[in-house]
Amino acid sequence: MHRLKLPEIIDRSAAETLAAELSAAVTPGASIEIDGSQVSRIGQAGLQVMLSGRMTATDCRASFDIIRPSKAFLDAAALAGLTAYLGDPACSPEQEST
Amino acid sequence: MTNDEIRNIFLLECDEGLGVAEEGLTACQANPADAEAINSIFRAVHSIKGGAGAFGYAALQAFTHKFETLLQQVRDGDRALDDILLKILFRALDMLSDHVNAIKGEASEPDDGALSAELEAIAGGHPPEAEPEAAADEEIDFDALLGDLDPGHDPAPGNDDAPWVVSIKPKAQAMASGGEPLHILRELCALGGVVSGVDRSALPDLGTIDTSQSYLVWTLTIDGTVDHASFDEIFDFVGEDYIWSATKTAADQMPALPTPDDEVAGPAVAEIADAAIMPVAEHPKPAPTAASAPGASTPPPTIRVDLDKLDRLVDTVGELVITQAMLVQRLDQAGVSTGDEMSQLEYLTRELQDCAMSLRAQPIGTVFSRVPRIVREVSMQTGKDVRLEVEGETTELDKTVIERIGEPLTHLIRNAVDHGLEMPEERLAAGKDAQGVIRLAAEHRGGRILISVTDDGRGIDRERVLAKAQERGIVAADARLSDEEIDNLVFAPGFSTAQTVSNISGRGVGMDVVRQNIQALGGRVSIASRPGHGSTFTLALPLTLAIADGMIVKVGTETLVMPLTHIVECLQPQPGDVKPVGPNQFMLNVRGQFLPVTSVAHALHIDGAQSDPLNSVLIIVETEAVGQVVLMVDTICDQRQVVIKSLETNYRAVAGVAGATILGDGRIALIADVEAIARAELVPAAVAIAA
Repeated sequence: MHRLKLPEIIDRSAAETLAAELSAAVTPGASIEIDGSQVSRIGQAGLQVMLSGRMTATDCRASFDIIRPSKAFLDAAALAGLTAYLGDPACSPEQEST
Repeated sequence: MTNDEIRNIFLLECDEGLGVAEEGLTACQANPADAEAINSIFRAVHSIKGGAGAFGYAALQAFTHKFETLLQQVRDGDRALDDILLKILFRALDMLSDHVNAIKGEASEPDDGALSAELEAIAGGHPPEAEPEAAADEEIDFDALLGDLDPGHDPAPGNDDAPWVVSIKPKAQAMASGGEPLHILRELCALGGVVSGVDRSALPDLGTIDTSQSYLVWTLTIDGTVDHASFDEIFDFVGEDYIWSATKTAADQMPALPTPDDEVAGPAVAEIADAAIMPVAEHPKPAPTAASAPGASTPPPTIRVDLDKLDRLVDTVGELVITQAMLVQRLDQAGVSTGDEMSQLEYLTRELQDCAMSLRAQPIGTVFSRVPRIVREVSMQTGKDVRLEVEGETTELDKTVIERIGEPLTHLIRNAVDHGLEMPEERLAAGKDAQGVIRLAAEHRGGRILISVTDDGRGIDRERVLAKAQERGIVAADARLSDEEIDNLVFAPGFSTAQTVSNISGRGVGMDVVRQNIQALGGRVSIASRPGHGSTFTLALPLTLAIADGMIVKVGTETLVMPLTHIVECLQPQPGDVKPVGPNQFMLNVRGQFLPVTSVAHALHIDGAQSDPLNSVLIIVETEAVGQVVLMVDTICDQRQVVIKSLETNYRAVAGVAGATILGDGRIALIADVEAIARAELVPAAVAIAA
């Protein structure tokens, strides 16, 4: 299993690094777990990379789970209408606790 | 920077914006689907609106807002750009220009009430109506037009409560320099907006994703009571970074957010209302192309410089050229070998001069951009159907020349439409297309700029022109004139063949002024006309009014400068080359072609000059009036750059002299007006007409 931890701030620059990391991790049949607990800010570039990762994983039958997404992460996903793609808030411990 | 300075910059930008919009609309005439042209028009009008708001020009701001709303619908694909709508957009552009002129104090504030209502009605869904035959004079019943609409001129008649469907596609630049499209989404959500759809069909997989690009398109639904202006405010300062639209839709067409099941089923595009998202999906905007090649269409950086500063620079360079010539002469007289250093200085001076002149050069498009409006207005007033073709609008020439050819060009264009082109039925009867063509072109040729106005109309009716000239005593009743001489009669003061005097042309006060204005610029006007096929008026203008290359010649006791642009070759004739054809009149045999010889001394009344061609230097020059002719001078002294000083400004106009210059030894030399000398000696009739 691949485990990745999202950085605190995912701006365009961080998104580029993240895309490279995810690209290396998402392989056919792989299982990827992404820790989103530290994210305090994520913009469109970061959301696009996460969404692309999710799509790519689906295409190559890899699992792609976002665990413990922070409130900032979920808010950004909700604002962009991407909650359905970037994790189920019900699975989020942070979300459960709020 | 003072407020006035900022205001002046705004007005300059308005002029630039109007030019861009005019170009864009013209491009749309050829290709209504030209997305980049539509975008450029929108951006230009949007910028003018922003500035108008900042400076408190309420009337301009209000009008541009309505204009922009309609443009946005076209840009977003909500409205097809057909001929009728295009004509209305042209009228709106003309009105916008009138508003800008009013702010400049050049005109009174225009009454845009009727046109504003028309724009609002069309933007509100009322189909545009064909332009009335004489819209300028005709009352349009806009009360009846507006009566069809709901009281608030809502974009969805009878659908007041329908929610807004807002579609947003950020461009790449929306994410550059710290920009964040999510902030815009947040502002829309603050208006009560809810994201109802996300189009992610353009999103690539991880292997090819470019994090500087924007791939998502959002659709939001927002309460229908929210004013459209709220959206405008949000996009006011970032509008160019986004493709967006706000339309109303019926409740049963409301988009819905996708569920995870949608994804399992595999659709890449979330289910959303067709009406809301299709404009973006069906009409891909140029943004992705621009984004894929960042900087490809970015104009080079520019700064604005006061014209006074440029003029000082050009004057100083002119003085430098004179001083350099003096230095060369002084060193030469002292027997000092200058060698490479002087060659280098000469090279650098010329480079500096070219740079200085290029700073003053402007594309002639700034003058040409006024022409479409003139053609539109005259064609509407005359009921003629006219197509304007423009070529060479990037040709550059000196700013002073540009500023002073506007009026002559306007006369020529108005005359071409009014007199040159026939009425549609007359054209059809003559086997022509009902739509007449006016072609405006500019090009560099032989160190000059040629600007031509060509029509495919009836051509000059020479019988009528000659009869009218004889009737008015402009030429003798028994005068026998060549076709060219008859054509030139249209430049005679007070000449007009128009059957009725109109407010367009036909008062006989235009064409002679055209010739005078062009001659004052050191230029010439010529005519080529074919009966039944049309006419071409050509303006030949100097590239610059400041510096020229010249040949220094001696004629009697005088030193003259012959502009190099006219000179074809110089020669010393052999016995047998020169044939006398009358008292003091000769022809020169140049490789089998006989050319008339003109004595410069005779033309300029200079005493003590050689009268025998065999003891003179003969200079073959090219003229527009009489083709190649031979000018007879005593000797050739030198060839150099000369700084042209106006005789008119410092003394008065002198026939046969184009200006003066200061030579290297400090003496003043007159610059010969080659064209005028040739005409005076060889075409007496033309001089009599032009006088």
